[in-house]
Amino acid sequence: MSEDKNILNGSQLTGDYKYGFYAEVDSDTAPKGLSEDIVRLISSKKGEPAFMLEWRLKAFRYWQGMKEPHWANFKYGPINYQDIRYYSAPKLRGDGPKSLAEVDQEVVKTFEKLGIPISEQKRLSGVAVDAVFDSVSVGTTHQVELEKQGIIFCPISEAVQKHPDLVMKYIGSVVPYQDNFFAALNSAVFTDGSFCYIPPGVRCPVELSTYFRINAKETGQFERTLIVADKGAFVSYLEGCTAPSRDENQLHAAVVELVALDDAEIKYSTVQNWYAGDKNGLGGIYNFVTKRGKCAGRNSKISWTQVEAGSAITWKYPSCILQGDNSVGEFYSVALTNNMMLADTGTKMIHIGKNTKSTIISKGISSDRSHNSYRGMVKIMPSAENARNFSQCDSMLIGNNCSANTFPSIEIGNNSATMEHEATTSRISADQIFYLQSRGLDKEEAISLVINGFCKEVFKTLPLEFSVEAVKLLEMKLEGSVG
Amino acid sequence: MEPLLSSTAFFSSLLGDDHKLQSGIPQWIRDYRRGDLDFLATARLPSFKDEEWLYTPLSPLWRQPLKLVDRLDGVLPDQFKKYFIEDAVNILIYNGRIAGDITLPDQSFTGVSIEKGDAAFKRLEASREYFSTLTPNDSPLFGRLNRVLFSDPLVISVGRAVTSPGLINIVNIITSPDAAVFPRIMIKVNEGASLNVVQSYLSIPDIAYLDLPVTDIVLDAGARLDYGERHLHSTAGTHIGAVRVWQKKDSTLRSCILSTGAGIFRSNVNVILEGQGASAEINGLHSLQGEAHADSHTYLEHVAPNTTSNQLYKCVLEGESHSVFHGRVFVHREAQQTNSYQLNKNLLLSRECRVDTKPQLEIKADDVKCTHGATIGQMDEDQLFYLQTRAVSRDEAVRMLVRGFMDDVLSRVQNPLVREALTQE
Repeated sequence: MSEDKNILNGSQLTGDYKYGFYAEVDSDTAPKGLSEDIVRLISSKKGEPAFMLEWRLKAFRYWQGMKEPHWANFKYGPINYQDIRYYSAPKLRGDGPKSLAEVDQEVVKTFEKLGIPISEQKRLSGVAVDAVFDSVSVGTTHQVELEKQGIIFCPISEAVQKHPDLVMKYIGSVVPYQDNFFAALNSAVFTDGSFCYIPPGVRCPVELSTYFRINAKETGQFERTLIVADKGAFVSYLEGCTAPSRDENQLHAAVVELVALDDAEIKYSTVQNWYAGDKNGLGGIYNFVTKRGKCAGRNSKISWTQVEAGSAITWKYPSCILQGDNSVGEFYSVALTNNMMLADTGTKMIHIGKNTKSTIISKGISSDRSHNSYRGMVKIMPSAENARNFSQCDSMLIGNNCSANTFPSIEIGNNSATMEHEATTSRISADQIFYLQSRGLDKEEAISLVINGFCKEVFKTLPLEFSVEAVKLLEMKLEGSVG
Repeated sequence: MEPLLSSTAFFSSLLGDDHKLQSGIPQWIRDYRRGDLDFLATARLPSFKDEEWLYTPLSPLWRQPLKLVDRLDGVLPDQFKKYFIEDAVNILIYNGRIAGDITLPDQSFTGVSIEKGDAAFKRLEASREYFSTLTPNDSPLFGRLNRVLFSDPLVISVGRAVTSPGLINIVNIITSPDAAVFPRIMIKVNEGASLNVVQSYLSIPDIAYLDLPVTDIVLDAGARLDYGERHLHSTAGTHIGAVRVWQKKDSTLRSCILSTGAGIFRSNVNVILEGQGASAEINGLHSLQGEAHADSHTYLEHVAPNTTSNQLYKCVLEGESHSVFHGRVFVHREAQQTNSYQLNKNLLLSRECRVDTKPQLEIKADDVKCTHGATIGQMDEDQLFYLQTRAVSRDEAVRMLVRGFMDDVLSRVQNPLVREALTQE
């Protein structure tokens, strides 16, 4: 394979998109550093009720006593938590580029390849969208329809003010602030994120997405998402997008909590393509995320689907606590790493209730000098009669400087459990490529076909348009990586 | 912070008096021991925070006062006589000491040498590069404990191109309560040679002890070893054993470890495939009852290209038993065309048993085929029903299916002498 060629191609994606166009003019910006005062400032800026401030402060005090974890299968430079600005007022419109012509042409090309509509391209690249267009955006239309059904879908800061009872009841109920270092930090300083509540018996008519949410132009650095599906409700939530996202924050420590009550179902899909640094591994986002869902009720279901194709370092384990009897947890993941990317991702399935089922399908693809690890846990508690798990973790290596690791951990405390785990690591078989080439496909097409087949089980769980974009995204990322 | 090893009853009973440790030991080993003692004096106890000991609590061990056995005493109880095999070279390690002289019976052992005492120390010195290595993935504590406390090494070697058709049968027996024994065995198979070795670990029932053997195996180019271990420990005993293997070009290892567990049972198997074309088959079978515990750690390191490893570990659990499997395969960047297979299967027969399994793959080469799998399940009701419709009682049907589950491992022991020795009774 030609590594140089690959690196060149890679730079189309991960390469140089410019950040220069945000001027720091905000008068409403907190000084750098973190202290109780900053936590109080954030809370007062957000106009939060007292319970929220209390909670933030508790989290902050707890965080101060914690040590940054370093057990993952990678190393990263020290993070100076006093050098981060924890609050700045929402960015003014009009600071961005005035038209797509001002946006890096490489980025525009990428959009075109992915088939993203012009209006969305503008939004994604931070181009100020004119008011007329905005007012008729899909977002507003959906908003009205959702309200009719009683669905609450708004920024979490708004939810804290308007629905404090719901927030108080559920925030921290799945990921308590004591959970881990980054969750504690997030609990103390989160400023942005989504809140979603689906009332009993309602099937959310559209796929909810941060796209549609007005006032959510950017995902925050410490994003906090809380989704509650009440009895018998259903929601499908999409996060992120396939296009490379611009962001000036290096550390992202988000927390996502899902709660599914009796008979409820939550489907959470993520496509993550943050800036991954240049080909030498300089820069790029540290994506340290805590995502966890609780199947609190009987017959509830939580399904995670993720396509991880960006970030310099990805460190996340979307998990399910299967507490209700007959509840179901699913995890479908494709993690692709190229250049110098590091990914340590997987899931935890904690079986507590009777007849709980979980499925794990994880596909890792590593190329160039990247490292890709699957780390997961299946824990079947003594109370989980007839629990069932199936795990499959496949890794594909492209090139000889990358690595693929699998670290599953399986703890079984009930004999009625049935679990199967299998993992494979291999490269694209030369036979398959030869066969496809003999049928008239060129090498790139052949590889893309094989990769698609490899990831098919995951892609088919994505919402349709996401699925199409995800396929293209992988094709593009792997251009030039001949196995 | 975990307490220091030196603050435990374990430490003071075994390492309190270091003069005793040095008598009759060559200077070059004493040099290692000095470093080891320094290490042990400041070492912290491994705990569940330590990945290697996550599922195997060692706390009962540290509270236990143990004693080193200085002399051989007493006569071997009759019940162990049956473990000696006719036509084989039988070596008795009795409470950690090699008992009696070793005689090589007939011409089927020409070219084989088995040494103890000074001759064995000399052989160890010749293989210092292996002796000095500490097991990489294990907590270094136990490797050092053996190096500090062993006193009676056994070295088996086979000359170049000698194919030894016979069986070497090493029988480790512990009869002394609270004994701490540290067998140290080295097996060296020279170029093109082959050898069959079986080790049995036995004890009288219900006594507490610590059995901490280290078996080093070096397979030169084209060498072959058929190796088996059988463990029938006391329910109160502790066995923490290491088998460390270095394989050169085109060498072959076939290994099978059987056990019924122990109070604490830990088997570490480390294989380094450092020569092209080397292949290793590492199998294990545990049948656990009552409160038995069995923890198997394997570490297969593929260093050279074209190497193959195969692992099948099975466990049948009854009562409140607990099984742990931690299998790690590491493929270096240079080790292209590696094939590695690992499978761990557990059959749960009771409500209270527990299984923890952690298969791991770490791969840095791209042209490889590596898979691992783990399953945990119960008896298939359909199969039981089928057998019952054929007039087999339920109990008998369960026995038949368990036997079938276990036979999968036993049938992989290719060498008939090794298989017979392992499955006898």
